[in-house]
Order: sequence, then structure tokens, then C-alpha cells
Amino acid sequence: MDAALPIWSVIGCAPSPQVRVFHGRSAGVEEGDGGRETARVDGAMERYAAGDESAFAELYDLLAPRLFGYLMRQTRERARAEDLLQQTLLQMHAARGRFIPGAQVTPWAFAIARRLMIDGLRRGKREVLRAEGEGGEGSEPVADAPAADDLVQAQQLAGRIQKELARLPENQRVAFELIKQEGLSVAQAAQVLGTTVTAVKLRAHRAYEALRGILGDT
Amino acid sequence: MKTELPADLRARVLSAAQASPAPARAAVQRGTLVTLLVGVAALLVVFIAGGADLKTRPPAFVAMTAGGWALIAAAATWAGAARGGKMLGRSAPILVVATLVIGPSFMAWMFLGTTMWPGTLGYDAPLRAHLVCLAFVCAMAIGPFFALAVIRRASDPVHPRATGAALGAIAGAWAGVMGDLHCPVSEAMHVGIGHVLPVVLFAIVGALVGRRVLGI
Repeated sequence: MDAALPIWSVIGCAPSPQVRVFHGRSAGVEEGDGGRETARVDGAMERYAAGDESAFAELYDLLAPRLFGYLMRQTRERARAEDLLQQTLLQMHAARGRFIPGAQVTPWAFAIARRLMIDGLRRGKREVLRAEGEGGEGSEPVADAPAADDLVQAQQLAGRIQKELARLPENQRVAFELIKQEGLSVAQAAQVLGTTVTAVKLRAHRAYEALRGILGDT
Repeated sequence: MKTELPADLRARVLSAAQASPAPARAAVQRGTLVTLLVGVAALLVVFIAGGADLKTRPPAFVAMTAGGWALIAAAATWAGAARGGKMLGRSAPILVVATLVIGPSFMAWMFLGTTMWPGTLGYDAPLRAHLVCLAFVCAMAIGPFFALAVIRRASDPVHPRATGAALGAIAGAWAGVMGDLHCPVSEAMHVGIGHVLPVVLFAIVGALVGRRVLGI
């Protein structure tokens, strides 16, 4: 396995352009499509907060796919993810009057989704199990239609990484997932987790190093 | 793993939002202003009922101690209650620092004041006086604390306990400022128990109720 291969390409997720924390780019800088989409989300929320009722539908269209993907990856339960997505968007709707002009919507939305998910787990209403031994389930097809052997190998590796991810301390795993899988910038992940940028960088870096060690052994 | 959105979810979410309308920013801002004014009014009512003591101490000493405490309270309010342009507010470390720094800063500032005006010391207040001041300052803190809690209710998905503690400490700090205007005793034990302890007590209350009141 080529240790230089980005981990997210193996675990089958497509990071947005701002995901470059370990590759010499500054934290929180958004560029290209990611930046434009963020601006559209923020703009839609701003209009909704100001009283434009139709902006909520736009907000849904922009945010729901990302949030749903995140919730599906976390819960691995479709009905639960749908329920959490609906709750998240309704919380944002209820809080629209308190939206701060110029504030970022994405970390706020992810933080609400995460909180609702954790609360659901704590209440014990549903047992959410991280998939174990389901190597290929979390992965998307590798680009450029690889050979069947390569695909199987990649799926096995992805499964192993998912297992190793689940074994990491929670704070490292969550930081890694928010940045690498969900495409948040380090600054946004820091907001979601309620901590500092430095702490998130450190946690994600440790997770990355742990996973790189595993890949290096492969 | 399929992550396509179900076709009917959009309609469900939009209709649920329509069924429970939420006020837009202008209405919320009006409500926030009214709530803040009610909180400040509640503090002032208790303060006026207790009365100010501005004559038994040098005016410059009162200005220095109360003014300094007000600046500390204002800085804590900025750090702990304002959200810094982010929907998720400031990070937990900043909130914790804002909470923890108020009490020691108040004590240090008062120590500086009494060092500059040694004549303000010398009255060894009994325990009862400490407790009367404690109750008075706590009574003044209730209004601002409720106001801040109402304004920030169900808004913090990340660290509601830290936010609650900060809001409690801020309410206690402003009550402590008014308590300093009310009470002429500057002795450290009295200031610690009567004027500064409410900061700690309200921070604890804020941390305890934060998850339930401020959390999402």
C-alpha cells in the first residue's frame, strides 16, 4: 500500500477542497466550490433569518445531503438518520431569529446534528452500532474503475481502517471524521467540538498518524 | 451504503417548519432587548431597595473598586455571553477562563484598592453581615441570570454547561459590582463571602442547569 495515498481515498469519502490540514494549507481557508457552497448556505440562512420564508427550502437543498451523509455514516440506520436530519433542520428553523449575521451555518448544523445523535444514544432509545466487519459498506467505488482485485483489496483495507477508526479515542476519531469525511475545515470542526483549532489539529493529526501507521504495515 | 435522501423527506421537513412558525430576527431582537431590560430592572429594583452607600468611603476608592469591577464584569460579559460572531459561541476554554477569572480578579482589584486607601479597612464585620451581603448580592443576580438564560435558551449544542457557568458568573459579577456600591465593608473576608461568592454560586447553578436550559 502506498503510504502517500490519502487516507480518504481509501476509506471512500470525497473531502471538499478545504480539507488540506496536513498538506501545508492553512486551517479554515475555503476555496473553490467548497467556499462557494458555504457562501450559498450562509446566504440562504441569512435570508431565512431576515424573514424570507422561501429560503428554508434552499437551505434544505444545500445542507440536507451533507448532513444526511454524515448521519448515515454515524448511525448506519436510515430511519434514524432521517429522523435526526429532520430534527436538526427544525432546530435551525426554530433558532432562525437568533442567527448572527455573517456566522457560518455549516458547523452549527453539524453541531446540532451531532448533539441530537449523542442525546439519542444517551437516552438509549436506539442502539446504534458502528459496523464491525462490514468492510465494504462504508466505501464508495474507487475512481477510475479499478480491477476487481484492487477493489476487493481496497474494500478490505477500508474495512480495516473503519475498525481502527472505531478503536481510536473518541475525540481523535470525531475530529478526523469531521475534517476528512465531512469536509469541514479545522476551524469549523473546532466550533462543532467546542474546542480550539490547535486541539482539533492535534487530535486529527494523531488519528491520521495512527491510521497511516496501519496503512504503512499493510 | 446508500446515502440518497428520501424523496418525501423534503416535503415533510418543510411542512413541519410551516406548521410551527418561528419568529424572524427582528422579532427575536425585540424580545431579547425586552428580556435584558427586565433583567437589569430586576437587579436595580433590589439594589434600590437595599440602597447605596457612597458616603462612608472615599469617593475615589468607590470609583476605583466599583469601576474596576465593572470593567472586569464587562470583559467577562464580552468573553462569556457574546458569541463572537459564531452560532456556536466561543470555545469551552474561553468560557471556562471567563468564568474562573472573575472572582480572583475582583479580589485582587479590591486588595489593590484597600492598599491604596488603607483607611477603608479596620471594620471587622461579623458573620451575619457577610451572610446578609451574600443574600443581597444573590438576590440582585437572579434577574440578570434569568434574563441571560432566557435569551440563550436551547441554543447551545456544544458546551451548554460551560456556557451556563459563564452566564451565571457574569450575572453574579454584575450583582457584585452593585453590591460594592451598596456595602461599605472592604475587608477581604467580607468581600470574599458577601460580594464575590455569588459569582461562584451562580456559576455552579449555571453549570448545573446549563444542559437542560441552554442545551439543544
